[in-house]
Amino acid sequence: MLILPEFKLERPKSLAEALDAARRADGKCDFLGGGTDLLCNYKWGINTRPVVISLRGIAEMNRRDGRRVGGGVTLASLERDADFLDAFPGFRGALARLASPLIRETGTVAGNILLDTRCIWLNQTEFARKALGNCLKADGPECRVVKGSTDRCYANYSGDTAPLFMVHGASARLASPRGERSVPLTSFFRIDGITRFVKERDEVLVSLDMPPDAAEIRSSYQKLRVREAWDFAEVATAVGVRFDGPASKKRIGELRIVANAVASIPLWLEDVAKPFAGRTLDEATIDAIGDSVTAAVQPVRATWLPPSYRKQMAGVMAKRALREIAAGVA
Amino acid sequence: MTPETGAADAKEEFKVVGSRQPLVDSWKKVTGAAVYGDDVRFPNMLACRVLRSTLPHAKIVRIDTSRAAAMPGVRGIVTGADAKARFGVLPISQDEEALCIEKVRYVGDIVAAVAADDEAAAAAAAAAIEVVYERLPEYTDMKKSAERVAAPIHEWTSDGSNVQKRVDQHFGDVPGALASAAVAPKATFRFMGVGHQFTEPHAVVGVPEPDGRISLYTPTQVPHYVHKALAKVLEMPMHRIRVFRTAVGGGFGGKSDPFPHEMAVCLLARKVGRPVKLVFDREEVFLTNRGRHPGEISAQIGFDAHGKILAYDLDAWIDGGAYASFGVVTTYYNGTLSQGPYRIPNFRYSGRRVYTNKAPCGAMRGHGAVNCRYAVESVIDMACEELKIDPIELRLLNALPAHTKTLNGYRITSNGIVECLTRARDESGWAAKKGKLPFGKGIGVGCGFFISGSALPIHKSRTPQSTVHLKIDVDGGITAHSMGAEIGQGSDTVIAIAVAEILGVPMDFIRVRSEDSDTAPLDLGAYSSRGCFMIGNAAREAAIVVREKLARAAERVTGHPAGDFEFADARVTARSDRKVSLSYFEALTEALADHGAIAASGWYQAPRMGSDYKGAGAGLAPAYSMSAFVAEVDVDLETGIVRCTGVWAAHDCGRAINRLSVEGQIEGCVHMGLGQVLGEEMRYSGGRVSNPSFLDYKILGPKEMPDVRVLVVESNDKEGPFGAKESGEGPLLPILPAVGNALYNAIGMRATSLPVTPDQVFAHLSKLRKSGAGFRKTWETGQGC
Amino acid sequence: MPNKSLVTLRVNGATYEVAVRPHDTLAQALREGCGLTGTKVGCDLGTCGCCTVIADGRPVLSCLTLALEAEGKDLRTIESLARGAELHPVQEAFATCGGSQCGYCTPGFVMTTVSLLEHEPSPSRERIKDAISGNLCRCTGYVKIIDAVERAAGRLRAARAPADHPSLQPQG
Ligand SMILES: Cc1cc2nc3c(=O)[nH]c(=O)nc-3n(C[C@H](O)[C@H](O)[C@H](O)COP(=O)(O)OP(=O)(O)OC[C@H]3O[C@@H](n4cnc5c(N)ncnc54)[C@H](O)[C@@H]3O)c2cc1C
Ligand code: SF4
Ligand code: FES
Ligand code: FES
Repeated sequence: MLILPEFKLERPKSLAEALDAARRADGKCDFLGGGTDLLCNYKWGINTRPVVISLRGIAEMNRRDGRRVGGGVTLASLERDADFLDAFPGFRGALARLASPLIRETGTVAGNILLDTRCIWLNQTEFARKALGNCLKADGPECRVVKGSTDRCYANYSGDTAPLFMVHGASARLASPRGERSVPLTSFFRIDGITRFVKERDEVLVSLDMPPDAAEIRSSYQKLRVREAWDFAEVATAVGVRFDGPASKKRIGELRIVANAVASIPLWLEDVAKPFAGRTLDEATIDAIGDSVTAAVQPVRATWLPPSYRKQMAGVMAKRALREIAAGVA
Repeated sequence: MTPETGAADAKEEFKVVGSRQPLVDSWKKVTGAAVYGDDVRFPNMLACRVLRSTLPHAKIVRIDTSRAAAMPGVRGIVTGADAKARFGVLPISQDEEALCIEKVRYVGDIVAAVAADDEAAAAAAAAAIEVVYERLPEYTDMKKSAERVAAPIHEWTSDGSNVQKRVDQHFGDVPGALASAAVAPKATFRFMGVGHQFTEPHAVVGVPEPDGRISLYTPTQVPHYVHKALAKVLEMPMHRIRVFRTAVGGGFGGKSDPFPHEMAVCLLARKVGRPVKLVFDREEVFLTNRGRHPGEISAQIGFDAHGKILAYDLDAWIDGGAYASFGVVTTYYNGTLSQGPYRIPNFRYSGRRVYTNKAPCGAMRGHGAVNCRYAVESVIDMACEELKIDPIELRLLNALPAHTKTLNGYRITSNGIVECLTRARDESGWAAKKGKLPFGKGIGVGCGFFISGSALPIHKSRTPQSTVHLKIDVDGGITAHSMGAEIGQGSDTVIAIAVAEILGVPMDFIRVRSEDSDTAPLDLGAYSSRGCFMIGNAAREAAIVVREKLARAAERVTGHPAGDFEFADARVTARSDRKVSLSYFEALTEALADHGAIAASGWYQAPRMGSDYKGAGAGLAPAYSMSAFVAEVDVDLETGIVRCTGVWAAHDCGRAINRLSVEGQIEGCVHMGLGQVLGEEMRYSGGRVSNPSFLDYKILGPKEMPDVRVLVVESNDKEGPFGAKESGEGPLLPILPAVGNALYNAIGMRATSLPVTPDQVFAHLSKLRKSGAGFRKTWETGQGC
Repeated sequence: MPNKSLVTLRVNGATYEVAVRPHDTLAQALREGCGLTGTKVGCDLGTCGCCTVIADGRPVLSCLTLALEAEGKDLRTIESLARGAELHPVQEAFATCGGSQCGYCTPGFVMTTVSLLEHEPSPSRERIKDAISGNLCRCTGYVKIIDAVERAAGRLRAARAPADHPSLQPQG
């Protein structure tokens, strides 16, 4: 058996208690949602901390309230939430292709958004990492993927729900001892090497809040993985379209694109999307968008399949997403 | 999906043989009652963790265990100093050490083992052992490793290289035949290593018995070889050692070596005087490996203008990893087993297995025959294209007949290859599909040929390869004792069926005890797909002995001649006069009178056969299974992802003793073989396995599994028990080339490097798209997408 | 080392007081603490499903669940299913259909199936593939596992049907 490192487990019953526990731990803590990511990392001895604060007992986080999806809602319960899926059908495919049905039973939405980045050099036991030569992200001097990088890890972000929440304009509601704030998901992720979120260590991701007009966006998430279960995205693209006028006319009012699993955060491709406003969503436009997505991404060798291939596939996934949306309004 | 029931030429009528029997131990497995390695518990038991080498190749300068030994909860530590004897599964290549003595040879080699109060304490102590290494040059590329090297991995490779074994065979005149060939396509194929990755990680318990004996509880496929190795390493006579085979959570060849960790845990148990348990984590299973060898195979096959095979010319490079394991055998099999099911008039093969500083390879389902099978079946299809002959026609044309000899001296008995090919062809709708599917979809065929048990035991011996004991007492229940290793393949059930069939009693009369070396008669274990043939024969023989005793008892009771009785429905009835009939219990009561419990023994020993050139014994078997699979694939033309969508799996298993198991084995083979074509590979970075997890090692899930139509072909082998041969390994062979050939049929890509990855396929499609022709049409109109 | 504390687990209708440390998994607590070794550990990382148990009616991976977090849940393991020699229909189906070879994955598959059929009595073959896709089997190629789930579904439906319903007759 893999042995989990020792830690103190806090099991608060309310958000206030959780924040208090975090304050007491003085930042040397991790929150635990479903644990399907955190506990694997802990078993591998990756960035473990002495205090773990479980959020499962916080009732208010474990439900969906209209457009507010509690951070503690499990992926499986979201998958079974017919009202939510009717409003946001793009999530249906994304959830069905996320991890495995067993993992979705415990994995939570917040945990999925905050999923740690992954890398073929990293997600292994301490023994294997030592044998392979430790890298920057875990006790080593240098990144193995981007040789020479001593200050930035290029591990891959592959949380499958963040891209969709982004195209629907969702915000992350964060709570800390300093109070609550709401951050649009499109500015929630940032690459600066060490952290990847604007979230502070002691902040709890309480919920994801969809804006009132979120359901007007038609969305699709297309994911490429080697196997239809377990596998993280090798590359994926989420697309959101707000049609101008009747949808059947297919005039793009606003286009939103997130390229996923090609960088350390989900990439909000604003500049790629903008020029297509006003165009008709036909095959030519779809191809053009796909090609622009491919041109815009620069994956590195941190996953199973080679980056050059994944770069091509980012565009293919975008095209598939767009075709699905186009077919949905045809 | 109800699999076909085959058109067996049933010479005999059977009651139980040929039915669908749930495995006799399945009730234990479905209730969670089965005791696997990690479920074994003893009072006072300690936990063990091992310290493994993090370097691929290094001299051990010093090991300091003092700090570790002083840690809380630590009860004992063993290192290479505690056991000097070397061992290995083959007597000719005993190159393994319980714990590394002077040097480490791969990342994962065991340097020390710690027994402590719990796993955490043992792990902490193992980490606190200080080892000073002196790094040696690392040989991770098999071709470079085969040259003269500065520091050979093992001292005995005499020529200064790391070549462990060479095989050079030449029968007939290959250069001459190739020169006269109408076509002689040639190609080189590269194979990544693959692992068994059974779901149960290795988990063993060593127990020092109060009387000074040592017991080992282990999920092993080969209790007898483990027993022998333990005797050598512990320097104890075999009778002072007991090997107990726990339930085995999958083997596939991966639990068929005597392992260093099995030795280490016994050494520890003896040293500390308490039971010691060691459980691997999944990563350690990858490190320990013994999986299918990575390698490179070049194959050239010459044909005459009609498609008759004239010659095989094969060359194999086999990357062995750090230890020999079954490697000598592998080196032979990579050439010799590629011959059947065809008539090959000229044959040449050169193979070499090279030590490298990587996880050791060994025997894996279809041992040695899988990669070369892929190579020859691919090249055969290349010839079909050149000669414009249908691939199934060409294979039929070259089919080896029954009751013949191969060029290298294999004795072929029953042979259902023609029926396999024709049924796979007819059931798959081959004629309507081949050449008529849209771009991106394809159909292909591949054949297989595999041993039904190695005719020669690993250790030269006149002791039978399988013995089964039966014991029957007043309760009427029949206990069968065997050391044949049930690993999920159903060998216990074969024993029960054989006995039930012969004695005409219901299955629940029979209980199989196949765990304990103290009570079980010798059996060589579950490898070379030998179980059904050899254990089945032994069980059948033993049951016949019992039947004779019961018949004589019936004669004593009825006065009717013993030879006229038949056994069915728990009755003993005279054939010529059905009124003369007594119950099984009445006959048994008479048989036990004045004698006590019946004890009967049956055994199997392969007949002497084969030629006498060097290596003639490799691949000799008392019978061979034959198979032909047709597979269909569907290529996603945008992403290059290949899915196998249908398989027609015709396999000549001789006779399906248990139809349920035969189907299950074939389906399992399809799954495992498909994995090797479409996803599974052990990746290395230098000498280090870089994907040691189920996330990164791509075993296919249910959604990647095609529909499998199992076509059981029963050639009724004269020497097999009730006509049976094997179905555990052979059916893995044909799926790889069937898919490879289907892929070629779909998109014109000859996969010369396995596994086929989406990026390879995408690169091929991109090239086609650039060059236009054919593809562009279908591509641009979106057909086939 | 953080001290062990007593946790009360409700497993298979019985109450177990188990001494666990905060970082012990539910799989450890069940196997070592409760002595229920039917639950298997194949990967310890969420990728094989051998460790699947049912918590409050849904399947969970006990290797990725902390023992303390299972407190207060209604837990069911493979040991809960058979009544003496009478197998649960799902167990019976796995044996009868050959859905279990080496058997190591079987407890996990059985628990996943039990939970599936409690929520969806008539899953299609495709839906079955979906539902079991978090469980890994290295032996069967899944074919006979899917057969088993179908058979179990049929028998469970029959058992729920009115007593005079013809489909109540045991099949095969
Ligand atoms: C075999 C396997 C396959 C997987 N495949 C996929 C896949 O295909 N796609 C995918 O997206 N994911 C996949 N995952 C990852 C993971 O299971 C999911 O992303 C899941 O949603 C994570 O949620 P969780 O609640 O279990 O996260 P946890 O492990 O509980 O947490 C993840 C991170 O988020 C933090 N966190 C959790 N909740 C909060 C909160 N409310 N506030 C603040 N911080 C919080 C934790 O501290 C931790 O850093 C896979 C995991 C496994 C083991
Ligand atoms: S990207 Fe570089 S630093 Fe980050 S985990 Fe991979 S090898 Fe380590
Ligand atoms: S042991 Fe829990 S999923 Fe493998
Ligand atoms: S039966 Fe062996 S892993 Fe499923």
